[in-house]
Amino acid sequence: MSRGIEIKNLSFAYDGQSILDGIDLSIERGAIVTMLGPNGCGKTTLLKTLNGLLRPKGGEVIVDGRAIDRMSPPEIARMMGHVPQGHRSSFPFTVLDIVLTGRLPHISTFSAPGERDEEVAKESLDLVGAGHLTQRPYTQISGGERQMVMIARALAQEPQFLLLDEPTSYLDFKNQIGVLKTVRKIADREGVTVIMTLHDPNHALAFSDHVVLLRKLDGKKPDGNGDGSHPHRANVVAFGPPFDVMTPMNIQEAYGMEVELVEHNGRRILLPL
Amino acid sequence: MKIEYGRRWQIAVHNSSFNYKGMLIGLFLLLPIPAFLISMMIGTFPLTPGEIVGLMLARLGMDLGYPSVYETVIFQVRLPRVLMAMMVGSILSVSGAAFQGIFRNPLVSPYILGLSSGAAFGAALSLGVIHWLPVQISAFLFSLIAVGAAYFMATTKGKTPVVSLVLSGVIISAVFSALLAIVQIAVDEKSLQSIVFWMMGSMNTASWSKLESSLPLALAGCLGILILRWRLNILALGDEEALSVGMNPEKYKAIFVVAAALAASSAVAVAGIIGLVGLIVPHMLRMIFGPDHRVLIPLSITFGAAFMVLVDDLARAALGFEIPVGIITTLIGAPFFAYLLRATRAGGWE
Repeated sequence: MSRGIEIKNLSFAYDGQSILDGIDLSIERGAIVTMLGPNGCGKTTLLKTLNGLLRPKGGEVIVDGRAIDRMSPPEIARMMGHVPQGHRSSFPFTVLDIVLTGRLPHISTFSAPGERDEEVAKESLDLVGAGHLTQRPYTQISGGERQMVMIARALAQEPQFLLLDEPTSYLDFKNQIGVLKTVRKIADREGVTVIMTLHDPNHALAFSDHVVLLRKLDGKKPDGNGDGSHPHRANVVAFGPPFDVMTPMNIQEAYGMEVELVEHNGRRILLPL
Repeated sequence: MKIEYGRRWQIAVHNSSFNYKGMLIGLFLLLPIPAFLISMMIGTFPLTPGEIVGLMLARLGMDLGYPSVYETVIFQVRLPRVLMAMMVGSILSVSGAAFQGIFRNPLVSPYILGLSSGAAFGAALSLGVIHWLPVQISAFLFSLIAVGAAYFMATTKGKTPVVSLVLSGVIISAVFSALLAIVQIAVDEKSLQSIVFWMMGSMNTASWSKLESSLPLALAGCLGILILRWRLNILALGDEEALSVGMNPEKYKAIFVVAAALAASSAVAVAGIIGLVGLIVPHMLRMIFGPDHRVLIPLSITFGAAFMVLVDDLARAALGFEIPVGIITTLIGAPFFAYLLRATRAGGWE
């Protein structure tokens, strides 16, 4: 049995419009994998097919040797934590109450969270460095803190995989780095495999073990008009270690824009030209 | 500095308030008992606590020499009315709290899906046109039909987005109001009067038979919400957030809407349209105890009962004549609602 996530020839369409096509990826346990690409390339869609929230048109997703479409939602939720994009709440729930909802897949239908659930929730909050927020109303904490709380909620699911959808969006510079460092810490210390989507190529360079660089499908049939360079227009431009994937050529391929690569003290930075 | 002070204050309140909060919850859970006793004493025929206890004992077979008029007043008029007010208050508050959780908005009422308009039409139909159909049954059925239609209209591809629900509720309400207007035009003056009176909402037609017939479904609905109440916390975070922890939000939305609609329809069918109780009670509780449904739902049951029965005391005993209690709750509720609307900026609706 292979441990990790296998994506085999996956395709997806919204209302007949092809979004994802021909995706083959193999994600090993214990790494941070970042999905990167322009708006509309299907990053979020791909992330949601991984935990079965969206059903692919074709192909399959196999997690630790089991096909995801044969697992029940609570089963998947025990295995995969998921933080959807930018969340806000109308009710001033306490941070602890929010994190406790992550315990749902471990609680039977007619029960409510017990002492052990509360313990796990508090541990998760400590893990993301938000232990001091436990009793604060969720509506009164900062955007960065909210993101940490939602990550803690996903960790309270006690998952082996953590799916994060643009965890840095709407955050200021410092909070972006703060969240990414926390994610790194969780991956290293807890051995949780993190799969996230990001917008900033430099964040992908600095904080991931593997990068999946995606491009947008052009929606037309793959014969092309004279442009013979893409024999099949699948989404994945490149997949591998960040230094190999994040080259100016690949970025050009994915975003259609020119960048240069600058090296400084062994770190790489992509700058638009 | 100011923020720091605010934080310290909050932490201090939290640390010292743990037992205090528990005590307050206990107090609110017991509120229906004094509210019941007070309500039994009040009326055109005032009773002392001793007399109430005495009459209860007399009922159990002890002959204490009370005149039989006492027994009629207390057992045939006052007791069913007090119990019905308490039941209706509980139901409206619990279903209001549940609907607010489902809609992720503290300002919605149990009537948001057209329940009250459906009930009003059903009642009018029975009072004015189909006389052999009991008002209670007709109002109950049409309120459920309205909610069902609104829910069905808002559902596409197995999903029921909250915004679609709000809009379909508005449309269904409009349709039933139009139908109600047709009935009102067609019927004679006497029927029209009883329709208008029914719509104002009142407890003065309370009887044991009304209580008995509405209790089973009301109880089933309330119990369903009570048992599953923690899940309202998850639903209140949003569909995406529910899905991500393995909950099917559509299934639970349907369960809670059915439970709340069954209960609220039973209440409206016996008491008419009593406005804003389902809004005020959960909101007051949220202001004191926070939004956690594990606490909010049980307290809505008890505080809703106490609140409603005390307001009904006002309705029947404050002036020389009876004021429909729905008018009082609306007049108390409207300013409160306006205040909430401004204080919470439309309840933080996205």
